[in-house]
Amino acid sequence: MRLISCHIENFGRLQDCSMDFEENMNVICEENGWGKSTFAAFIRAMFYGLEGERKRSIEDNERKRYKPWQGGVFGGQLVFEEGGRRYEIIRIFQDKEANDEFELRDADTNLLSNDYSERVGEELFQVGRESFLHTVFISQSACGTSATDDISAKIGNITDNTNDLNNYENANIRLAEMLNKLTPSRKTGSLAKRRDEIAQLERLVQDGQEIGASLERYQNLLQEQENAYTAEQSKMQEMTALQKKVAAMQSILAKKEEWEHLKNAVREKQQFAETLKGKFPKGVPTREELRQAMTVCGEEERIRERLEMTKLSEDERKELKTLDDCFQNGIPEEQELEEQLAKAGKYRRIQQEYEQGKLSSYEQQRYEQLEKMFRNESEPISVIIGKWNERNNRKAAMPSKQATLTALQASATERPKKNPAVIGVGMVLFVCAILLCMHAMWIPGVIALLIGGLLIAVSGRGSGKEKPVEQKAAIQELETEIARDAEWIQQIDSEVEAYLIAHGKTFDEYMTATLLQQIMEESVEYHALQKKAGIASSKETGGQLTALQQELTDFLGRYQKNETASSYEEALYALRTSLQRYQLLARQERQQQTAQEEWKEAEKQLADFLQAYGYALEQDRRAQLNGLQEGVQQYQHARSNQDEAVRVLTQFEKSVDTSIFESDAGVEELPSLEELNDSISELTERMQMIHKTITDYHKTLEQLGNQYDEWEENREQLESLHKIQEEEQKKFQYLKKTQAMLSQAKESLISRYTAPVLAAFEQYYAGITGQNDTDFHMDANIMVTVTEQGRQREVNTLSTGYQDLIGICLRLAFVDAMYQQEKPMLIFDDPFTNLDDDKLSAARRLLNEVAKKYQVIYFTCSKTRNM
Amino acid sequence: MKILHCADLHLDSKMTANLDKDKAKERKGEILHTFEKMIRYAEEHDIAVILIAGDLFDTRHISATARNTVLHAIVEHSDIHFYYLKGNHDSNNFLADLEEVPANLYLFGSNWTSYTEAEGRITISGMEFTGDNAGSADVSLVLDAGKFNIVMLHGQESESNGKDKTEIIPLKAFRNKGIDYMALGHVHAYKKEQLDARATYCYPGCLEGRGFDECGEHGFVVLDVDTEHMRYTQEFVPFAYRTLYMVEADVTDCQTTAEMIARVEERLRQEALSATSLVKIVLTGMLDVECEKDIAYIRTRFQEDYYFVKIYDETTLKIDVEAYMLDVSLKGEYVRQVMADDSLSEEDKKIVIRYGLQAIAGEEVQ
Repeated sequence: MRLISCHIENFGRLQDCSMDFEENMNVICEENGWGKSTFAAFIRAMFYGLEGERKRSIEDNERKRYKPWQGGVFGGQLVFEEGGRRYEIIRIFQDKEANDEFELRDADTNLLSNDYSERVGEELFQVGRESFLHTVFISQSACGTSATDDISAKIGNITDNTNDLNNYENANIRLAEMLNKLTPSRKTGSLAKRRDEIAQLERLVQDGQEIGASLERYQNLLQEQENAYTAEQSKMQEMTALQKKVAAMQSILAKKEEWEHLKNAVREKQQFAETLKGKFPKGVPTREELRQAMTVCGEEERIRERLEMTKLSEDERKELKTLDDCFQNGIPEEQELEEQLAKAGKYRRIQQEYEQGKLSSYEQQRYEQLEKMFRNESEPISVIIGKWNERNNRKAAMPSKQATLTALQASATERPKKNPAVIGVGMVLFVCAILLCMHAMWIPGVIALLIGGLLIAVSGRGSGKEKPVEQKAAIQELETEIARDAEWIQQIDSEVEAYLIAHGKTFDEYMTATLLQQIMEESVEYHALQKKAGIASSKETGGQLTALQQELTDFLGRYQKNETASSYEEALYALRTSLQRYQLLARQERQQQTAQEEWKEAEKQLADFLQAYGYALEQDRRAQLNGLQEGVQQYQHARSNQDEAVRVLTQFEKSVDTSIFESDAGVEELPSLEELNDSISELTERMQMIHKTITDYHKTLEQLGNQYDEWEENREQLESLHKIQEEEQKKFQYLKKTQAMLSQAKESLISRYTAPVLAAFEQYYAGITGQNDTDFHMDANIMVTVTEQGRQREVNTLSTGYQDLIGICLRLAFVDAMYQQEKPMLIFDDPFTNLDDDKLSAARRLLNEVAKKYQVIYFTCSKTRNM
Repeated sequence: MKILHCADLHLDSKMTANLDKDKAKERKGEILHTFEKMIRYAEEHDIAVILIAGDLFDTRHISATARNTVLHAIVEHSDIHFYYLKGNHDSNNFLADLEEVPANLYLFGSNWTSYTEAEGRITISGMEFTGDNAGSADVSLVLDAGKFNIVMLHGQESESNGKDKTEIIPLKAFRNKGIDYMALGHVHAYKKEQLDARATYCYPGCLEGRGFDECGEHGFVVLDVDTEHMRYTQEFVPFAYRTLYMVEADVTDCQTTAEMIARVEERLRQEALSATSLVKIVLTGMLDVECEKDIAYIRTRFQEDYYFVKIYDETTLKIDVEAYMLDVSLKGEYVRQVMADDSLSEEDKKIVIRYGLQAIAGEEVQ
């Protein structure tokens, strides 16, 4: 293939730069800084894109390095020819590779072409970028070269088939990674890690070997202890049985003792009861009898108390005698007494009234005076006062009526519109009404209010319909009323004046009310004196007094009470008192007699009772009976105790088979309970210790069990790890072998192709240096060595000039071997800077020769190195 | 009278051999639950006696849940008589802290212990093996031939060496002793054989399989004893909640994981396994050395279909060496180099070749 032309939009410092390429030699000789290296990089970038995407340094990151400082489109176009066809590559680089633009067009038709993809470099040259750099692109700083896999593959010409040699490196890397992961010789390798783990587990397993034995040992110990415990348990059972037996025996003995005790108790109590019974001469009275006797005794005591209480003294007897005489004619009833008392009270009142009814001299005088005034009175003063009040009311209403009349008369002659004067009058009447009401002159007040309201309403009608007929009627009525009132007032005035004069008073309109009030008071006084005088002069009063007096005297005389008129009531009260006293004393005497009889009866009962049991009645019968009662109680108690003892004994004999008390056999042979208890305690203690030991052993066994389980787990894990280790070890060996064999195969494969490369290299080298006798060697990796001083030396031991020379020749040899049919272009970016003049000339010649086979694009900044 | 014979329940077994922590815990609970269901079954079917012929628990360390569940089940079913003979995995820890053994739980010791049922017509005898008594077990057993005699033992039947301290049961020595039924434990698969003219011996197998060495049906045995005629019938009752299966799938000539999956699917369809099963799929056959095979993906593909899936790759590689002889690529060169290496066995060569080809192809090396 060959380049036709290119156009750089912006690439590094190059901007809007175009170039056409010759078929063979193209020399670009520009000064330093022109951008030759940039240009060469542009061509490379057109085929392979930009390099170093992930690199940070600007030197390694071509995107950063060649981004145009001036901005603008970053990229360009390149036209090349391949297989008789011309193509145009258009690449625009952005900030990221993903955003880069690529187009391939048919340069002749300008149509887009799919003959090559974005990886046009690999597709055209069949090598990657690195291989491209190692072969067709020779820069001034990288003349040295070596065979990449692409190169080797290309050289081997087997890329068309399988491409597997290209993948050798990746395969080798992968194998190396796997080996690394597994390796036993590095800590990070799984085999090494597992080996350590296995070693650790083996130690643990080793250390745990004893656990099984310990487990068994402890189990045996536990068994021994359990056996011992069982044995002790048996002993305990025996001792417990024995204890029960002894306890049972002792229980029998205790019961027997109890039985004897109960029998003795019965005997004793029986004896005691008999002794007590003997103290009673004729038997033991029952409690009931005794209780009754005590009751009678108590009754007798109460009777005696009553006798004492009802006994009359000597004075009382005399008094009774006296009263007896007094009431020998009979005892007055209470009602009769009350009646007489009432009469005496009436007598007293009448007499008092009589005394009180007499007027005093002043009263008499005043009475006569007042009688003159009120004797011939036609009307009571209250009526006169009422009339006067009415008169005052009417008179007070007169002004308002007059004002109303005036208003009405005025409104009747004028036009029917609002009259402020009328309204004013109405308002004044309204105020007068309030004042009258405040002075309690209700009737005039109300009238004034009504009239005032009427005036306001009427005058306020304004332009309402006229009613002259009604108004006139009202006026007339009012006039009539006013006249009537005036006349009546005058009449009353006359009457009152006359009345006052009759009472010795002078008529004065303003004092009349007061004067009338005075007359009222005099009237009241007059009537009171009149009444008083009336009672004193009554004839009935004397007769009543006499009659009453006689009755009372007769009554009192029956009971030898002769009282005077001044004290009938006292006499009657005294009589009543005497009567009460008489009744009391008589009753007392009767009670005394009754008590006497009862006492005798009670005494007889007591005596009979005591006698029945061989006792005589004593003076202090209470004490006697108490003593008797005590005796009976003691006896009863003793009998009760006796009965209880018998009951207990009977019950005991029912619940216990007393025949067992007969036999005492074997009692002496058994140990005592105390001895047994001691033995049992010791045994219990021993068993507790054994139990504790057993518990401890259980705990230990549990721990050992857990340890053993853990040990078994470890053992299982160890087995598993051994297995895995073995498998991985095998795999590791296989991988190692695979890696080695693969490398061997690769070398074997490649070594077939090194001879032609070496031959080409030697030819080129001789062409430049003119030396045919240099002893070069090439290994399977297409690394060149030279024999110097009897030894093969690597080229980097030679001078820089020679290294560059060898590198260039080697590149040319590679290209010859790689591209046997379709020749690529060769780009030389000033590679001969280190050659001396002679070699430079030779290189120039060589390049011209090469240009006959390949399109050469040669960059230089020096005219001396210009081709 | 109906009698249930079970053994080797291994309650509280860790279950981590195949299962992850969560599933192991779940499975442990399921086995305990199966035990409870077994007792409920006994109640519903009027079974009067349950014989537990050893290894009720898996280790000496018994969780509180397991202990309490078992005790509760025994106590709650007081009408059922439980006869518990300890096995080589059992210890005394189950009853160690009990103040009182439930009245319906009957235990055995290192000497012959006998109990009677059915009003004395059935005798149940048992002896727990220790290191000392196994040899004389047969000699010290004395039975009344007029009764229906059941003998309980835990151990490996004769002439096989038991590991884990198991004892051997010399079955021949127990012949003609008047035994009607030997209720054994220790072997985890159901087995019933004739002992003598009168007796049979039986391993009921474990109640639930715990690993892929215990595939197939598991459960217990129910005896129906006619005490009048001294005859009985026996029935194995499959009762496990989950069953383990091992399924082989021949994936010969499959080139891709997808093809292998198809083969496995076909096999599983034939087996028609329940979704509650634990399945071990064993890939067999010969595969091309360059075939694409992803065992992990095959497992992922089937793990949703069953409770647990495990894939075992027992395929062997085959390689057509002739095809690589003229291959001028790196692959060809590599294969030729490996085949020429005499330090490798044929099998190793295949593996190395496979690894190399996978590496060259950029595939995961496995």
